[in-house]
Amino acid sequence: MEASITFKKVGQLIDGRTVLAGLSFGIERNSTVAIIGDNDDSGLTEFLRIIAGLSDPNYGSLYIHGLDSIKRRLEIRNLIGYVPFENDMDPWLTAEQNINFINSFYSINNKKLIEKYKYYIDALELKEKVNIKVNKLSPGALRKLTLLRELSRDPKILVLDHPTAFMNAKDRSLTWNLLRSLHNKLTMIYSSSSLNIIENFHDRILVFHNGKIDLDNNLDNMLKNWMGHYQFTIQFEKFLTPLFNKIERVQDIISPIKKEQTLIFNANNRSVLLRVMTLLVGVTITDINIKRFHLRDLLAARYIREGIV
Amino acid sequence: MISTLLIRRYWIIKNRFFTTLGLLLILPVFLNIVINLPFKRLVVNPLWNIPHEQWIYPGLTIIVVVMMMIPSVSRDLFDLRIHKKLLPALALTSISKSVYLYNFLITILIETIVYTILVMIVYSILIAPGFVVLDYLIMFPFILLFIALGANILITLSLIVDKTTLYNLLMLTFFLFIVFASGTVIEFEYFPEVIGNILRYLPTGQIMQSLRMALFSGVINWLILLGALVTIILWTFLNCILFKKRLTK
Repeated sequence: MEASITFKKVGQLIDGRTVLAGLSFGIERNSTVAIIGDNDDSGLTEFLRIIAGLSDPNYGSLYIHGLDSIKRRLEIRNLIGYVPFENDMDPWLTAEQNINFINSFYSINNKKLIEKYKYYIDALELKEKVNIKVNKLSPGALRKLTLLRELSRDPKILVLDHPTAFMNAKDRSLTWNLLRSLHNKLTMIYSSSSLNIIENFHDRILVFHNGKIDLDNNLDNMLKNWMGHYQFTIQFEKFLTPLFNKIERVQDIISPIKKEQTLIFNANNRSVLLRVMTLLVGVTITDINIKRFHLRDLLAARYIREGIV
Repeated sequence: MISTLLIRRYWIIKNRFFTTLGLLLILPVFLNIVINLPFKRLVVNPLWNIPHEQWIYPGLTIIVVVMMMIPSVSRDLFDLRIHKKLLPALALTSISKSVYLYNFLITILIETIVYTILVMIVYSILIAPGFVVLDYLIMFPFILLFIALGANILITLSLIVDKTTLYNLLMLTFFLFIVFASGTVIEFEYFPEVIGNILRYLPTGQIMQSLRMALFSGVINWLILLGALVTIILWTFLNCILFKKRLTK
């Protein structure tokens, strides 16, 4: 797949502190990348600002659709849409005046711009909001309007810093549905504190820690490589060590543990449980529990293991 | 781009139409009461026997127009900048920041031309200086030069200061400078010699002196005009660099 964004040893310092440390990786065109930071210093916002073009990296190179982000800056700007965390609209103008003003500085076909603008106004249910002065709008409505501003330009890359922050439940659902409808149509890079959303909407997840990418894969592969998709807990009336030794040798079993009369193990599919069950003929089981792992479990396990939290 | 910026100025004025109109009408009247009327009684022997009304007219016009310009510049380059509104989005567009600032200055000048005409009309009624049309035409380019210089000072202050209290203090200082130390109301002869000489040779003082020289003796000092123009161009250039630096910070 062709690269949409390529980082080559990109580093960023703020007040002498490293916020991004020599990042080298690529993001495929039309893929959706969710990013998570484990703390305020993770460099996540700076990472998004660099892609958006608001900051230049202190060292290293960034390529957007093969174009150097510094040398070909003006060409790149037409490709990117950026929804910042904080509302950046002029409070003295109406939302529509803001959108028209900013979009008039891009080299875009006016007919196409109007067409997209009308489409996204309906999609985001913003008809009644666009003619209100920005300082009279709620933060949630402003986020949708900022998204409208960026989407109406039909960007090839959309960078979103917590796109549904401050929104009510209805607007959140509306926005995520719209973004999901754009999956595979443009490159999307977004940060969110909602792990449920990230889990269900990504091609790839980047987990930042202290300016470095700590994890980089899709959830399926991350779970597969790290801890398995499921955790099984079987409680016995009497659980003897020879039986545990047999279970340990079952194919595809991950990290089996014996805790008194309880067996805990992970696996990537439920068939492993059936294999274990074949060894349990004649043994009294008092309880069985199957847990499917989620992103939060992966992060918790990862950080506990690394001693980060 | 100028048309886009002018449309934006129109939107802003439209959104605050009555405030702007009220300010435009009240300000000249207020300044007439607090500056013109007491000075008229204070100055018993006018300099070079020029009628007080004629002498003070261009200065008062400049003060009002500069005051009208302060909110426009402050809002767009200080307020929006420190609150991270509009300018970050603007920084991401495909236009050059220098070109933007250059066009912003032109837009402000166009806006102030409208204000200048309106204020001139208001003061012609209020003060009745007895000027002929040619006098107004002579005054106009000088006022515009002064405004362009003032706009550049305001732009620099709006771009270099980040603290609201300091900025407000500087705006007050700027206003007091325009009223008392730029030759708009008080002639440099009234200052102690050293201070008067310093103020006289500042670009603001030079423009005011040239304006009065052209208006009252018919002599246009092209060298001073050219010098002021070069100062404005260079200052604008420096402001463009400053703007670029501040936006990429």
